[in-house]
Amino acid sequence: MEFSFTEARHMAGLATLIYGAAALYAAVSMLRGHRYLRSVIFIVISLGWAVQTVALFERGYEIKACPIGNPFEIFQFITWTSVGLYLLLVPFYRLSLLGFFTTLLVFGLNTLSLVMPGWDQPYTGPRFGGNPWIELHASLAILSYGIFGVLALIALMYLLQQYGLKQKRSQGLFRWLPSIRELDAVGLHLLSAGLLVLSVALVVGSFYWIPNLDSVSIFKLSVTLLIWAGYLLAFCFRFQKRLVARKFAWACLLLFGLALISLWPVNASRRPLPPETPLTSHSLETHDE
Amino acid sequence: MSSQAPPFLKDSRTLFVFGSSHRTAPLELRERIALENGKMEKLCKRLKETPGLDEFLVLNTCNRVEIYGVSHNGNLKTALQDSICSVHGMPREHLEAHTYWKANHEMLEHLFYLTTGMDSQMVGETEIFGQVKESYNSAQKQGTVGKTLNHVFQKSFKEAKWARTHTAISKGQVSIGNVVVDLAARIFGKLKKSKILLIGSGEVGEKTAQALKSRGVKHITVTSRTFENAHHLAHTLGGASLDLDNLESNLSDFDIIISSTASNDLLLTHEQVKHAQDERRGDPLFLIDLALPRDIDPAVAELENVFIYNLDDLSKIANQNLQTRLGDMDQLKQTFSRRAWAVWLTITRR
Repeated sequence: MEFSFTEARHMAGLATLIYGAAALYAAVSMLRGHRYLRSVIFIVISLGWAVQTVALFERGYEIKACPIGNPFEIFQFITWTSVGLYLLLVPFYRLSLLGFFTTLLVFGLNTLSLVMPGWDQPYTGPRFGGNPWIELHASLAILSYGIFGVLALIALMYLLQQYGLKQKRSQGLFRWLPSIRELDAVGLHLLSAGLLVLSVALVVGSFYWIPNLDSVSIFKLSVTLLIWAGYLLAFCFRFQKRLVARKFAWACLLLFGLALISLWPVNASRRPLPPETPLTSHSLETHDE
Repeated sequence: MSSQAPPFLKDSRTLFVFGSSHRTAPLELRERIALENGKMEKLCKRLKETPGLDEFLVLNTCNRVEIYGVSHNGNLKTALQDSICSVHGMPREHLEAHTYWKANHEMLEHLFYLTTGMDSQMVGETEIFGQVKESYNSAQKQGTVGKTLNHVFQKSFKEAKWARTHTAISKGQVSIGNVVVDLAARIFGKLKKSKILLIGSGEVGEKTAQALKSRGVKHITVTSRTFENAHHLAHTLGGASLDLDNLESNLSDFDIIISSTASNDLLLTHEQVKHAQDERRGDPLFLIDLALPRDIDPAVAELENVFIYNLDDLSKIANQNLQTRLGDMDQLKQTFSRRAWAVWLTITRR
């Protein structure tokens, strides 16, 4: 198989390799006892993000819609959002090691989306029946998942720093992690932002659901609302300081895990394409392989 | 040890360091030879008049008095020794056995070790770098350093910066106060807004509070069994004092509590800390128990977002950090030996 710059999967694969290289560089630096150069990680991640943007653009151009129609695309879109958010956060929050953790998450999820058989199922585009409201709803929902992805990373870093301080570990990774107070503050900001975006996504989606209730999958709607309610509860309890410290971090990790897992049943609940439906050029190539 | 320039040199100039430090002299002697109250000026005046001494720089710290120089008159050890002794009015034999003389590339090696903190009592400390720089600036102003020492000292500053960036020689803190500062930064980030309570007016506690203050802490409160002591220390630290009887009711106001009293009983019980932490509603609390026997119930460690460190924990971290620093020493010595030769060859071929 030859590499092609015009093939979305190939470009997504290239972006994944770049993220992997960034993670490897950071890991090797830390294993040698040195803090990695943040400027290097930032540049490499930016390059990976640019390549991934091209990949998503190519797929979007091909299906003439936002590329969030199958698990491969959804995962790619979530990681693309997470990296974009990381690039946005860097100038405002000097959170050391966030780059490393972002590359690990993105490399892991991207690799999963590339190697899982059947995740890049062909479909005719646009997937959302050409309804701009429902497409906007889906894009915003996945954008919020990207934010929750970074929130999960922050929560993981928080738990590691807590563990290091409680167990009196001061060597290696622990000495470079940001302070728990900073992580807590950034976590709350991200939760607020993610919840806001997801809420807007649901409001936008309701413009379609309410008049077309018969055509909506109740299962998909319930799962989405459940995830939203979970984050809303976490936000309320955090705001009231009833869910703090480790419990809050665990809640953020758990909710993101649930959000990712929910993508399977949500995707499975979609009605399969009729066999006579003409395939896109991308689909044909996928079948040929 | 070679004291003469190698035979391939263009001239017979010698680059040297002569001095006495914590490695060769006891504290009493170091106290006697410290260049205070105008003695530095007197020594510099004598050195300017020393025949054969082309350039020189005097380094005077609490751990060493050293003269770096360039001579065209071979070994000036005796003359320099006499100069130091005459400034202090002491017989030569008192100093003789406690000095060292290193020449040419060995002087360069010594200087690289020095600026990197490898020759310091606390390996890897960075204060010495500033002290050397200060002495160098002062010597420049006085015009006692020339082309050779300028080049040599600039090189040594570069080497120190390189070592700090590329090795673990200055990584991690090795004093209790600075270990506490590092831990506090891992919990609170910037310490400017953190509120500190110091229980007891002991020296270790005071030094720890000073270390936190040096990192920007503004709110320090002191409490002690003797209110006068607390008030006096609070004044020294630029903070406030608190009556020990009001400790429990004010506990939740503080982010960092340092305790170092001579009390035989626990001053802070599990219940008291739990109550304070409930009032703090999840805000982290950092407890430092420097007392023996301990002042704070160790069981508070199980409380959410409460971090307690005692003297043993802090010493363990300081030792780990020291081991990390020492781990890079051998490699650095080899590197500096190579580089000292390279610099020495550059100087002699200029």
